[in-house]
Order: sequence, then structure tokens, then C-alpha cells
Amino acid sequence: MRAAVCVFPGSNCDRDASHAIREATGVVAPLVWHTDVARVRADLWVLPGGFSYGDYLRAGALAALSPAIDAMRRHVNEGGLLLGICNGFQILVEAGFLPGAFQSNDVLHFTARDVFLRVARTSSPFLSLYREGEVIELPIAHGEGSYQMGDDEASRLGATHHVALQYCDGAGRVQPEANPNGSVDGIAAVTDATGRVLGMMPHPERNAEPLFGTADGQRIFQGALGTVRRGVGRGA
Amino acid sequence: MAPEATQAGLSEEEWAVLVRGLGRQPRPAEALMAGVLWSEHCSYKHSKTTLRSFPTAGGRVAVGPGENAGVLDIGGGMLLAAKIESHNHPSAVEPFQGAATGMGGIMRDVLSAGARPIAFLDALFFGPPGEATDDWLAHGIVAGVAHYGNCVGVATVGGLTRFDEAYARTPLVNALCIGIAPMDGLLRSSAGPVGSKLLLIGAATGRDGVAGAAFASRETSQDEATRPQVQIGDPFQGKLLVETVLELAEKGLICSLGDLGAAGITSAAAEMAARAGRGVRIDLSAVPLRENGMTAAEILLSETQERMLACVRVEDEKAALAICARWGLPAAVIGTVTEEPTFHASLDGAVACAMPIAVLSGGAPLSALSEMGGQRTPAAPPKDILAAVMDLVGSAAFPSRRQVFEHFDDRVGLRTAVGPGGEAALLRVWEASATVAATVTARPRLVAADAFSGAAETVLEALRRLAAVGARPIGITDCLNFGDPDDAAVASDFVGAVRGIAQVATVLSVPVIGGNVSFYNGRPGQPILPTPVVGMIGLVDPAIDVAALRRAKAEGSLFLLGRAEGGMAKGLPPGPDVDAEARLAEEVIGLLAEGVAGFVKTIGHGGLLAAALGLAADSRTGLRLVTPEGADRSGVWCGEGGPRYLFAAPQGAEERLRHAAGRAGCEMWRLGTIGGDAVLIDGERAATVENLVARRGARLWGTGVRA
Repeated sequence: MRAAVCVFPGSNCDRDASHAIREATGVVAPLVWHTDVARVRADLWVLPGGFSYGDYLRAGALAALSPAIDAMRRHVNEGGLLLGICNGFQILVEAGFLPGAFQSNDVLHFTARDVFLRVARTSSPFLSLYREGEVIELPIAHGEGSYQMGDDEASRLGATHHVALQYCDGAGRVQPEANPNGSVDGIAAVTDATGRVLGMMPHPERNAEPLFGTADGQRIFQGALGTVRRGVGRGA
Repeated sequence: MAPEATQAGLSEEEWAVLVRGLGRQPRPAEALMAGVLWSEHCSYKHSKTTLRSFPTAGGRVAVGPGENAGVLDIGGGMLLAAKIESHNHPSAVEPFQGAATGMGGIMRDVLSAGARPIAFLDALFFGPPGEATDDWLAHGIVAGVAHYGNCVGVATVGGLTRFDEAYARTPLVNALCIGIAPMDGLLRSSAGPVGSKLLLIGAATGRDGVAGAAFASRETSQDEATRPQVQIGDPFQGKLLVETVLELAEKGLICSLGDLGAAGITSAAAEMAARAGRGVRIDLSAVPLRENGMTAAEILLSETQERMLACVRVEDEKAALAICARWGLPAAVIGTVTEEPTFHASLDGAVACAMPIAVLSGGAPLSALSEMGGQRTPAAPPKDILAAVMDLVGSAAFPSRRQVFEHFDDRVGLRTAVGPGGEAALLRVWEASATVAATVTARPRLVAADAFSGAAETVLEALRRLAAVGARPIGITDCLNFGDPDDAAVASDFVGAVRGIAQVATVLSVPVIGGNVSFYNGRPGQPILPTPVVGMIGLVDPAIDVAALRRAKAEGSLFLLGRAEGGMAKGLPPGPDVDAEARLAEEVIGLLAEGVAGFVKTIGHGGLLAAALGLAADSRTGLRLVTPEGADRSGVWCGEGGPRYLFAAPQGAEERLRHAAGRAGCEMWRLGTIGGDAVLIDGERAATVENLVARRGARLWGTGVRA
């Protein structure tokens, strides 16, 4: 059972992701420079948060052209798990792993705070340890986090991709007042059709230890690596 | 006076000293280099003498003032580097880039020590909200702090934001950076052995910010002509620079390191040479340039951001360049360390500079400032408590600062145990099995009333803030923001404030490990308030349960520990009673360690009234408050300063709180109970919870977007 974190120039949550994976699962996830990805085999790859290539052009746009992305495509095709957090989610969208696009937050500035999230789907290795409809708490920290989908993409929802997490209030109600950035339908995370690719704007690694409160983020990593252990992923 | 002197910003006396030191007329570049290195910003010529009264050694100090950042030993084989610096003048002209480059500059200072930057705190002072120019400045500065800090991946974990007429159109931007390094990873700026190479790493050099340091040594005019002197920050390059430099350091490829901040190559290379008693020979044609036709002086003085100068041994040159290339950063060997203590620089074979290092970096004539006696300006005490409540709740001091710090990534790095909004920030340093506490404090109105006592109170407030999170201070870094030092009243305030900080630091045995002086703040004839900002670093008592501290809620009863009344009742801050403060702080830490009370608030700006009303708003609860018997109501609720803490604790904790206060030679009063839908003071309804919550949530600035 192996996990690894891909480091692009400007990634800044790479160490955090590795730290949280170790705290939550005991797995040591090495940091791998983006041009070296093809040489490292892992069951779970994480594209971490940060400002890859300084967010120049568009968040995630330049990292999506890295040789790491071809390696990730092979990894997913071979049954591997891929998690994009924050900037990693933006890269997954730019690279076409997941549909949609990001705009600046509707408040027009970077926003860092805790949010409530409703678990919309559990049939993904990453979400297998949550209950459907469960309300969890994770921090967000982004400037371009307003997730949007075209009508054509929205119409394929359920076939090509699934909503995984939605911004909600403490009681689990998905409503505009609880939406921190103007994302359509309060979408905070989506998976591909298989559930093996997850992109999420909130940071599970920032709430994966009891010190930080609920430690709700732990189960993302535990679910992913636990599932690998049970033979769903390539590592079996 | 020689026209070259005026052009270089040198006084007649300084010009004479320069000519005497060289034994000849200076070359054009030499005059400009001396002009910048001898400027107030670089040479501290007005403040150096006064600052000598700070205690700077002992305790955990590994590196004291003078290096790029002060360094403390935090145990467990780990070092902590910290420094605070101002970026006031650039931020007044171009708020976004001024603030952004301020963050970058202080981060590189910490990086210069070989430390990985892990946290920022900032102290921001703006004119009152509502005026277009001041709102533009405030917006730009907050956005600039966010832009750099968020992108570079260093958490902004605390700070303060103040509004006062005195900062109208002359905002202050002070940023503190904290970094950590393993004991054997400490780097210094002293040049390596003779023959070793000077490696310039980072962004290509352009004309931006040529002689910016001289600019910061004048009073600001919002003049279009000064705009090009503000540099442009690129946090992406800054992040690459951090990783590159730390990898070079980890692999042992660097003998010394310096940041290219004010005065660029000139100051970094001169400092390296001066500290080693050696010289440098620089080939300016080797410097990667962004623009054509730059003169030698422009290359030597450019303040292009995101650059550092490393000294590497000849045999390590190739390996070092390969690491820079892998991170995608331009790097070039631009010179060598020489035996002869001369700053030698040439461009395309033509000598531009050949100055003795001693003249360049130690030559500025110093002037001592003096304190005038009896310069005290009492503030008017409040007339009536309920009127004071109205004033406070309606003022810009009351709304939550969440709307400021929400712009900042406060968690990246996973070290933030307590972030912005706490009494002090708490950072886990698992490498040392330690929790570091950090806070910044400023009491400019008190300093204006009495510089000595006001500055002393500023340090003591920091001490109390650390105590309130269970931490003991280990070091101070200070940023002294004042007006024109040639104004006798400004000079007197400066000397008095330094005396206040020095006395408290000395009695507490907490060293001042570095900092920054910023003069010439204000518009002509209108200096800012004297604004010493104190950054204090501490270590949390290992017996403290940090997770419990995070969870603590205001429940039960309210108690006041220390003294019934704060100072300022007579319009002046109280004289510092450092021994009483230290004893009480120790008792507060003890109470937290025993778990007697988890919820402690210090009493700062706005007095007990602000502390209590803030608590009511944040906890969405009413309070029934009673003035301690026999005490002066105004002194109790509106007084500021002195050893005082507000505790929320179960009723049963009363005796233990009383004993703790008694052991410290202080007293304790039960102030009232928590609950209800309004704040009552001596039975009078001061404010409803609904109103307090609404005012706490009020926007400081209209955003024109979503409220």
C-alpha cells in the first residue's frame, strides 16, 4: 500500500498532505517532483494544494501541462486512486480528469475559514467511511474556488461524474447562505464516474488530527488506503 | 555643497567623511552606494546609539541583533528565527505591492538564517474607514499581505489592525516572520573563505526600486514620480527561492547567505565582507539582467525582489548551480571573496567601485537623540460608562477582525494550533516537541501620552497575552515607527519608548533579538502617533493542554485578577510594575496548567469594557457585571494598562483564583455572571447581545459586493 504526493513548482500543501496521510493511516507518502512521477509507483497519488506555477494564466492551467499529468492518466486507467485538493482539484479540472471550471470566489477575495460539508455520495473509496448525508467540518483556503459546470456537463451528472461534497450549514442544509464562494449547487467536491478520482476544494489534511477539532478529514485518507488494502485498487 | 552629494542624498558632513575615508573624490557609483548604505533605513544613524540600551544576549539567544534575523534556541535541537520589519513608505504609495514586498522581505530575512519560514504576524495601522483614499490603502494592503503570504505558503497566524486619524494616508505595515531550523542548519551572513564564490540566486535584476532605501528615509509625498521606487513582489519566485535555499543549506553547499533587500547587491555583499573582515570583487556583467543598458550603480543598488546572495566554496559551485536550475531559478556566480577588505565592482572591465569596506558599511556618522523631560500629554478620561460603551461599540475598534484575517491562509503548514483572533498565536514545532507562542502588540495612544510608560505597557501587554495562552517569553523583536527624528518631540518620544522597552525587557530577562526602526512616517508637519510595535515570542508550558485551550468557552462566572483599576484614569498610562506583572503572569500560567480556568482574556485597547463586550459578542451571551466595591468605575471599566486579566471560570474556582492572585501580591474580584440577553453594568443595561453581535459583524469597509 503506497501513497505519494506530487510536487509542482509552487505547491505548498505537499508536506501537509504527506503529514496527514501518515497521521491518519501510518503510510509514509514521499514527496515526488512532478517530472519524476513516472518513475514512482503508488496506489494513491495526491495533487496537493498551493499555487502551482504561481496560478499564472489560471489556477492549475500550467500544471495541467506537466508530464506528471500523463503519468496520472496511466495511473487512473490502471485502477489507481487520484486525489486533488484545492489547487490539485483545479489541476484535475484543467487536465480534464473532472468536468467543470473555476471562477474567482463570488466575494472576490481569497477566503480562509472552516465550512460545513454534506457528504453527497459514499460509493467512492475516498468517501467510503462517511455516511451519506453526514455533515463534516473542513477548512477552505482559496481565491478561485467557485465551481461551475456548463449545461452539457451538468446534464451528464451521474454518468461521467458525481457530486461528492456540498457546502451546507450546520444542520446539513445546502443553501446560498452556507456557500462560501458561489459554487453551483454548493458543490465542493466531485468524483469521476468510477469514484477513484476525487477533486475537492476543502482541505482534509488540515483537519485530520484531534488537535484541530473533529478530525473529519482523516477518513478521506483512511478510506482511500483502506480500500486499496481490500483489493479495489491497483496495489492488491 | 557638492552636487554629487545632494544627488546621493548625503549631507555636507557625510560627504566630507566619505571623501576623507576614501582619500579622494568618490566615483559616481561609490557616492550613490554610500548615500544608500548611509541612509537612515540602512545605517540606523539616528537610532543606533539609543538602541544600545536593549538587552540582547543571554537566555536562549543564539544570534542577537545585527544579523538578518535574531535566532533563539527552543530546545530539542531546534532553532527559531524571528524578525519584524516595517514596509510603511512603499505601502503608502502602492499599497498592494508595498505590503506584498514587505512580506517577501521579512521572509527572506528569516530564510537568511537558514530557517524555513513557518508563520507571519502583521501589525496594520490605517486611517479611519470611510475615506476613499484610506479605504483604498487598507484594501490594497490587506490584499497584498494575502497575495504574498498565501501564495508563498507561510501561514499568517496573528496580528492586529488599528484605525486612527493619525494614520490617515500614512498607513503602517509591520510584518513579523518566524522560521525554524535544526541546530546545525544555522546560516550567517559572514563571508566564507577567501576565494569562495558569490552566487546570486533568484529573479533577474531590473531597474525596479533603485535606491528605495533612500526613499524610505524621507517623508512621503503621494507623488507619481516616486512610484517606480516601489518594487514588485512575486511570491511564486519567492517560494522557489525558499525551497532552493533550504535544499542548498541542507546539503551543506552554502557558507553564508544574505538577503537582497534595501540597497540590493551593495548591502548584501558589503555586509558579508564586513562581518568576515574581508572584501569582495564583483563582476557586474555576470549579473542576469532584465533590462538593457543598466549602469553599474543601477545594478549595484537595484532592489529587485526575490533574490539572495549565497557564498559557496569553489568546489561546491557546480552542485549549487545544478540545484538552482532544477528549481527553475536563475543563478550566476557574480564575484569572489577577497583578502583585501575592499568592495570592488566593475562593469565590462571598467571599475565602478573600489571602496574600503570599513568606509562603506561602517562609515556613516551617527547622531544621538535625546529625551526632553516632562513631555506628557494626558488623554481625557471618559465621562460616563454608558457613553463609553456607545463610543466603543460604534467605533472601528469593535468590529471583528475576522474580515481582515479571512483573507489570509492561517493553517498552511499544519502548525497553527491557535490562529488569528486568539490572545497569541500558537504554533506546534513537533521537531522540538514544543509549542511556540507569538503575539504583536501596540499602544500608540499610550505612548503619545507618555512614551516611557506607554512603551513599557506595550511590552507588558505582550507578556500578558503570552501568559493567557500558557506561555513564557523568550525573545522580543520590535518595530519602532516614528516621525521625523530631527523633530525634537519625535526624538524624545523615540528615546523614551526605547527606554521603556529596554527597562521591561531587562527586568523580565527577555532579550531583544532584533527589529527595525522606521522614521519619517507622516505627512510634512503631521507625524504619526509614536508607534512602537512589540513582537514577542514565547514557549508554552509543557503542562498546558493546547487542545483544551483551543476548546475553552466562556462559561460560569467572570473574575478580574490583578488590580481593580487600569491606568489612564488620570489620562496617563501607569508606571510599569514589572515584578508584579511577572509574578501574576506566572500564576496565570499555573492556573491554565492546572485546568482551573481555560478562558482568559487580557485587558488591552479599550480596557475591561472592550474585553467584556467583545467576550459577550463573540460568545453570544449576556453578562451581569458589578464594579468592584470601593473602586473607581471609570478606572475599572475604561482604564488601560497594568497587571489585569479577565477570567471565565466555574463558581467553584473562585478560591483558587483568589489564592493565585494573592501569591502574586494582587487581588481578585468576582465581576459577575455569564448569561442573559444583555450586558448589564451595576444593574444598568449597557448593550443588548443582539446589538453587540451585529456591531461585531459590521463591515469595516464597504466592499460593494456581498455584505
